Amino acid sequence: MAERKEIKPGSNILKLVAQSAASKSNHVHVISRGNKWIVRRNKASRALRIFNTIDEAIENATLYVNTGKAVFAVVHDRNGMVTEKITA
Amino acid sequence: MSFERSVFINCPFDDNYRHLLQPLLFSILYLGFEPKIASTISSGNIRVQEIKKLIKDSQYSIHDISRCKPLFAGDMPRFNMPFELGLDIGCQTYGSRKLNDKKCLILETEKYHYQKVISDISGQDIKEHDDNPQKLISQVREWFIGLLNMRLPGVEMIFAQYNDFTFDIIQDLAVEGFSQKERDSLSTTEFIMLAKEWILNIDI
Repeated sequence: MAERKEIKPGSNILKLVAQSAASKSNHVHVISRGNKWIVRRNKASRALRIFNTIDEAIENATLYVNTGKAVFAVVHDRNGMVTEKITA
Repeated sequence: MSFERSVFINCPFDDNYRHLLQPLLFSILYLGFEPKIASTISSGNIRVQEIKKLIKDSQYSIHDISRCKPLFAGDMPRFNMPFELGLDIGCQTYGSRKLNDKKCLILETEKYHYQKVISDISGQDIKEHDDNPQKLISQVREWFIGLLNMRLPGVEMIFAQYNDFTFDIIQDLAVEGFSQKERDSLSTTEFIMLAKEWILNIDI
């Protein structure tokens, strides 16, 4: 049976829909972890791969996109800010 | 929000500190606490009253004194952060019994830099963040663990969630019609509201 989630008065429906779509979409992130760079799936707790440089991590994330294993990839800088979105 | 969950934040609110402020606020919310910040638009007298109330209403405080230096060559150093730190320590010392339980974490960029500028605070919890968001999250997390004696999510998890948030929020705000300029210049209050809502809906 489908689960129903109550939307409280004042909730921004557009935002909830966008958030829900983002959380379910199949994409990967390139993010900094200490001195390394990782590729991880959206909302995943573990890294798919760990790299020494951001360029290596971006290359790997691009491979996920080009082979259809991810719809797109999001690259973040060391501060967590989005710098690039890679699509097929 | 209760006294026991409130964290007074004393730090700069300018663009040069944004890369540390936003992960700091996000981490505090993610760990289940409520950051308390003073409005930056109130007039001097009202602002001091507001800060005193926020300090009194918060069991925890985080003071970043790494920016107690002039913004530009020839400017005067900034004294707001040490002033508010002094108010907080005074509140702990001279306040009611409940306020004696207040705890504060002092952050700076480099280890022992404080000894050059404000040596009277030695003996407090002083940690360096190296201007690195992950190091800052780690210091804040470890400080809370030491105080609360409980397990908390790891730094990697918190920072990964923060990265997810920064992407999701760009998309969400674009859907709502926010321009790139508006998205880049979100006020601190707005950032807190968005982060709080995102964390609340994390399992949707």
